[in-house]
Amino acid sequence: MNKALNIHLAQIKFSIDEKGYSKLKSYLKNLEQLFISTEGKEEIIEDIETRIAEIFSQYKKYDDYVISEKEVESVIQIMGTVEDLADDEISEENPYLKTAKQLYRDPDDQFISGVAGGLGHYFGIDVVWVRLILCIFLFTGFGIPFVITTYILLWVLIPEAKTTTDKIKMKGESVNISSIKNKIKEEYDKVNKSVSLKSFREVSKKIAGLIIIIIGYIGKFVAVFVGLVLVFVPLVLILVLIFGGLVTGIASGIIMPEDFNGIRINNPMFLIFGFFLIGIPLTYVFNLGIKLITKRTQLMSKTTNYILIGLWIISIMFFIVIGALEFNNVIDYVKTFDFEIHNNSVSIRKVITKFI
Amino acid sequence: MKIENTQAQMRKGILELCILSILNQKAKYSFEILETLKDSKMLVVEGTLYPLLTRLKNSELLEYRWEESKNGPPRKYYTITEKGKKFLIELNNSWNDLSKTVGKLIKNNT
Repeated sequence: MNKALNIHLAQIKFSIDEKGYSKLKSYLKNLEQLFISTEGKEEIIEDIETRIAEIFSQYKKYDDYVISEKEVESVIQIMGTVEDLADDEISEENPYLKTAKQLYRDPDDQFISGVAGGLGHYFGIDVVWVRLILCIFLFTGFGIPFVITTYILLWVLIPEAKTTTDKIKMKGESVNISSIKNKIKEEYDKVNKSVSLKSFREVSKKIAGLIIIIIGYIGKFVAVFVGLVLVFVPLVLILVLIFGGLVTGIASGIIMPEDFNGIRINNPMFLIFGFFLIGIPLTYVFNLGIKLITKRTQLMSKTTNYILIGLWIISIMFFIVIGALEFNNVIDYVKTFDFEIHNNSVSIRKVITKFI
Repeated sequence: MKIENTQAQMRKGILELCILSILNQKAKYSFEILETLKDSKMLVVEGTLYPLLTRLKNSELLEYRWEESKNGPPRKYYTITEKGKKFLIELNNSWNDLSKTVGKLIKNNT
């Protein structure tokens, strides 16, 4: 089943199916972008629309005829895709025209309204950091009301990046035909997605409306919260490991300069492998957290993965071997240590008794 | 460097001359201009024509009038202006000069 929409093109009424409609709409929108700085832009678009209407009239065999997606595609083929036309326009524009970056809300990377995404683009940092900073502000008491009012203010004041030009300006690239062309290709892939999203939204509005949206937000919030915990805890633990390792390394170097009958406990190997043994799993937990926040799938390359897993296995083997080797030594050492303590206490007692 | 780009640039440069020549004989509506250009393989996609026509019209080399159509939207019939005719003669001369000199230059290429 397909929905049909009624449109007016050059003052003629046409029925067109939903997919065809969204294709035609994005085509005309992109054309408008293409001719944005061409003189007589409105007239060109009007001429093209008139011509499309003319071709549609030929397709229209009877009054209720619904123009199909295929027919829209063939019209675009006849008129020339935006890429085709962009090739013709290229010499008429200055490709080195740089535009200043502008602050927009990013509808493609939006969690609530795209403010964080827009800020991220504006300052040239990943959106994760913006969200992280927002969350830190939010949770450090420094003003839940402050953060929320600022956020809402930004939401209202910053325009959403709707058109291709907006999006390019948002990311601070120069607006020229080739960059618009690249964008259009990205857009094209998104259009199909958004169509299915729209129908989903309509259904959900009819059935459960807000509830689903609210649950969606809660779900997102929980995911991000868990993500944050999974990011912070391993991060702290890794830092503790690094500094703790350094401190114990130095400390044990001072306190226990003696050998463990061969292998020292402050042996750098011992510390390094210990660090790997605990640190590598923590790294994976950290990654899981990042994935939950950013929805990115691949954070580390395969090679990195293999190296890390390899190192981890080596660390385990190191400790198994050391464990086995050391077991007896430790027992011996403890005995001698006991003995020394015993001796020391004896000698101290002697000193004490002397003084007395 | 793509050969298609160079070819497109070549065609594009003389497209204006072609349009003016087509309209020099009689008024035509945009689709007829299109047909002629397509037949002589001067144009690949139709969308290219509209910016050109608008530009020529804005430079007062062309003008148009509306005409009703039985099956479809009203059509723009383009005619060449006096200014356009003068422009066409000059373009025509430059084209003749160009093709002569370029013809000499590329004579031994193949």
